[in-house]
Amino acid sequence: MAIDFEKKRVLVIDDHPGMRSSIRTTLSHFGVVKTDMAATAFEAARRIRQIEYDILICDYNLGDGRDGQQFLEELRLAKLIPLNTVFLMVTAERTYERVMSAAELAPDDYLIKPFTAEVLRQRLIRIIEKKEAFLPAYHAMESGNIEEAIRHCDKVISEQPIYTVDALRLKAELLIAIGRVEEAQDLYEQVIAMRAVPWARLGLAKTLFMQDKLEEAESELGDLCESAPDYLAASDLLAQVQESQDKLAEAQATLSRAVAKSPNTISRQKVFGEIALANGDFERAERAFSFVVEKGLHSILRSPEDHARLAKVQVEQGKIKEATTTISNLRTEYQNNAAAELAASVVESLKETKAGNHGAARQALDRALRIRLEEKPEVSDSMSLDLAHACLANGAEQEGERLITELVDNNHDNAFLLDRTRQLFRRLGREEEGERLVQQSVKNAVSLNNQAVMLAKAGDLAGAVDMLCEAVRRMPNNVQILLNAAQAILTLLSQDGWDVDKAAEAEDYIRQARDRRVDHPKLPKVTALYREVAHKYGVLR
Amino acid sequence: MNDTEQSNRDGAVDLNALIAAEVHDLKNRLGQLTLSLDELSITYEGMADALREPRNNCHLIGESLVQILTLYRTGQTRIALNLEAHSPLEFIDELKADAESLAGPAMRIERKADSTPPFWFFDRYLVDLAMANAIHNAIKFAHEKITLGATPRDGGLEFFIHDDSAGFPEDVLMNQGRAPSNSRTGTGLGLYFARAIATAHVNNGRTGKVRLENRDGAYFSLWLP
Repeated sequence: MAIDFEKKRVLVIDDHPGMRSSIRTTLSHFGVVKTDMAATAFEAARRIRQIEYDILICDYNLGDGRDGQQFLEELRLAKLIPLNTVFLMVTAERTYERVMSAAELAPDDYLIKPFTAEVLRQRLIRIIEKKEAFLPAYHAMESGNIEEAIRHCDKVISEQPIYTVDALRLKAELLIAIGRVEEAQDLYEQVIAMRAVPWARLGLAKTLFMQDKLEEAESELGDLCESAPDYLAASDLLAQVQESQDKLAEAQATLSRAVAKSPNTISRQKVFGEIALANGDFERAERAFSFVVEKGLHSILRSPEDHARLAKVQVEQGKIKEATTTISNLRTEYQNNAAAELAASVVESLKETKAGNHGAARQALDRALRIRLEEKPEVSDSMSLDLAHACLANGAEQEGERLITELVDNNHDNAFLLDRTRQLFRRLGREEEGERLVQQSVKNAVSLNNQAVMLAKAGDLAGAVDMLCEAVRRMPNNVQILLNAAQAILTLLSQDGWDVDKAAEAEDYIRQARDRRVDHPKLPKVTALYREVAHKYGVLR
Repeated sequence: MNDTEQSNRDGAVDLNALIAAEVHDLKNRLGQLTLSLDELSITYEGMADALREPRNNCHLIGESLVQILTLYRTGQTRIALNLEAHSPLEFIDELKADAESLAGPAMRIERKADSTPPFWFFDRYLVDLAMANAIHNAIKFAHEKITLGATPRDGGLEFFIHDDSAGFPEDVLMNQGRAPSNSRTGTGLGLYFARAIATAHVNNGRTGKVRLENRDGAYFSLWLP
């Protein structure tokens, strides 16, 4: 394929000025004339927002504690660059590629310094050719048509065998994204049969995890972590599997090793901080959240709740002065931001409670409750739990209990969250009450499901659907109920015929469930049912 | 780099780590120098011939430094591979383009990779290092022709470099890179290194290997399971 490099817009990102200009000269030797340069990820992001580049050439070491991989992940997650933009990583170290994660978040290739103009040219041509082969799949992915993207992967496998492995990898990830987990598992096993490459083993473990085969997933990942110790994505998933089995100490140990190897990953530090906090290891939790707040300064992955987590850990240790500073920094940095003010008010209330200033604590709490009611900002489960804590500690019994009930109703199958809820009540000396609330809520959800199943068995499918849809309105974030409702609707449709509105409702429930918990064990089954029913009525190709 | 900050617990400097860091730095500075020379030879075509020898030397020194570094690091653990599926054909094409830019117009570089599989799993960077070293040797000793190729063999994949030189000397053929020794390019570290890279590739109980033969010229092959 002849590639017209004169038309390509290239951005070179490197903190070393000599290297930047040297790459630019190298590029000019094979006809690239439109080259821009950036010294930092921050500057690069600014340029990328203004101009659509065809090619990004980025050094792995970006200085200021950031690396090219984090930068790439942010660009992709924030959808700042389309999938067909070429991203070439340049690195001084061979070990780099082991930190690579999902295919979608990986660079298109990496070049190890030093390299010649000829090598750079050849690599760019190869990448552009490969992107060309996958272009229809990328377009389908970007317009949300995953089925179409999967069909294109099959086409690549049969027509362009040199891209077989790339196509298998992308196809497996796409299958997971739409809940066809068992098919994805087959593909990973197919790759492993050729060669047990780490990403395929990780993918296999992920599909096991999603099918709730926790022990198998854990043993596969433990083995992978040992044989490829630098492949940190395996540690991240292992910690998640351990957390879901309530093995918090093991999860912390797993993440602790990963953090020691690669301390600069903000998302990992966040998870680590959360688990250390739940384990009562405040010192490590504080270090993790401090890191997130300081190093994440220009990261789009950061949220105002990060400051709040840090302040909370400081409060737990009685570091009132430090917490005050953190809260004030939070307010300075995020002005006119309801979510930030809510988070600040919640930790402020907890801080004043700890300091024994009950008037101030109540005042901050009232502010938090008012913002929640009037401005309805998006709030994480952790923040809701903290808000409930502030309520219960400051005499707002009713609000506190309502918050807890809502939280538990929405998460009755989330062991980690239920555990933290029990922990909260234990601290307030109300262990029995907490247990009762949790039990009641879990019982409600379970009995509701059972009732619906009874109705369905007795032939009243429509009754079961009504009951579950009503439950969804009451607990809109409960993944299990969302999925059960979708399942009931689909069974009804399968029996009585297709109904566009009902089908859309089921599809919507599945989407919400996926957004909340892509790894829910029931998700694949219900997704498959949707396809099956849609297929039956010829709605799906 | 981490290496520069490494010190023992009692505060004493770890000399080995310091040397490794220094070599690392040398390698990068040499990389800049190599790039500058490459640029000069492209910008001023008239100088290309005069610059060929210094460029070749820079590449050779750079490779040696990388070998030393890799061996230093693997001296602590085993060689860890980054296995991915690559097209052998594209790989050979890259090697060929690189060889052509170093060898100049007087040397004919041919490709022979007709029946290669569409992809094979190997550590592209390491195998590239091993092959580049052998190619530079070939450039030094070949009369006018070098053939680079890949071919399926014995259930695995063989990369080879065949030149029209007088062939490997007897002592090199005897040693086959089992230990670094004086060879036609100096210490023989390159060959030793290539063997280490080949043997790190293991699949289904079979291990990669390097072989040196004389077949109307020197025939270097790296077989991967």
